[in-house]
Amino acid sequence: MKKFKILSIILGGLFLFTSMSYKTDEGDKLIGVWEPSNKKAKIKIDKISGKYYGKIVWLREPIDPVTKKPKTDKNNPDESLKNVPLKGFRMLKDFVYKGDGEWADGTIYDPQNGSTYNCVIKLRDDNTLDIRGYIGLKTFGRTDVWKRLVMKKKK
Amino acid sequence: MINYFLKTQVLALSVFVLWGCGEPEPIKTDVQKLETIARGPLFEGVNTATVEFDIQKILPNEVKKEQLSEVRIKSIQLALADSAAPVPNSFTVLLASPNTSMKECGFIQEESIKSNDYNVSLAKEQEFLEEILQDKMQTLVIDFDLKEDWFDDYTVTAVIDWELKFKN
Repeated sequence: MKKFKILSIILGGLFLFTSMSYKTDEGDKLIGVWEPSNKKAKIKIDKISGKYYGKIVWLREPIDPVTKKPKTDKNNPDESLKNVPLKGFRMLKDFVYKGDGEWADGTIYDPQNGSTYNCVIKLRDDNTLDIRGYIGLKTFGRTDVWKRLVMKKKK
Repeated sequence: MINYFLKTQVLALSVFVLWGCGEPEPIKTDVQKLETIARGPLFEGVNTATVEFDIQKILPNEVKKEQLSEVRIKSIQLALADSAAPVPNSFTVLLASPNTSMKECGFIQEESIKSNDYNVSLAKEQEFLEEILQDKMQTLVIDFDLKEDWFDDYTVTAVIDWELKFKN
């Protein structure tokens, strides 16, 4: 009887560990380089201290046509941060994996108007994301489709 | 009888108000030196170095981080640990914690790096720091834009001069 109890505890622990690591691996499907539908930028999503963040790693037009210098976050509501380089800017912040291919509790920043929106990310398939930015209720928002950048296989 | 209750309530309210209005006291601390690491190999473009820390470790024993109030960063100076490592185009410094949102603390532009000035231009609004430092742990994040590939680890040292106050 005692042996059976010990075996149950070990098996239970093993099951818990396996399911936890499975959930973590599932969440990591978000990691990679993604392209929004307007194709103006590429965003790399990585994981820092358990949460997911996305930074701009490529811009179609990296140089500001007025200043002739690399673009900066000129619409930032904080005056002192208007010269932060746009390349590298973290526009997705604080996403937590909720299971079932969904990441929530995060925000998305739009450098074109300097506004930050609540955001939920849904994995449509391994290489497609539905990014929904909203204010208040999810109903009042807009969804953009992002595609993962994948290396084309050589023939 | 009513008069007695009224007097007691006024007295209790006064004590509460006086207690709440206590001025935060400054904490004397040394500058904090943190080594952020990006594991190589790294490729040209934007990369990230991070380090987790607990602000409690630089506080005097009698002060708990939950008592922190009116927190500011006076300065942050960055340095590359390996002199052979490529100098990036720019740096952005951010802070995060498990229960708060990641925030930009400041940045260094290409012009400053070219003139060997590694002092971070700090964000004017720093109200978010109090909440981050009171959390169970903190993460310092440094994004840097490399001009060329680097096949080793990349270490950026940050020396942070905090202005910390606490409430009893």
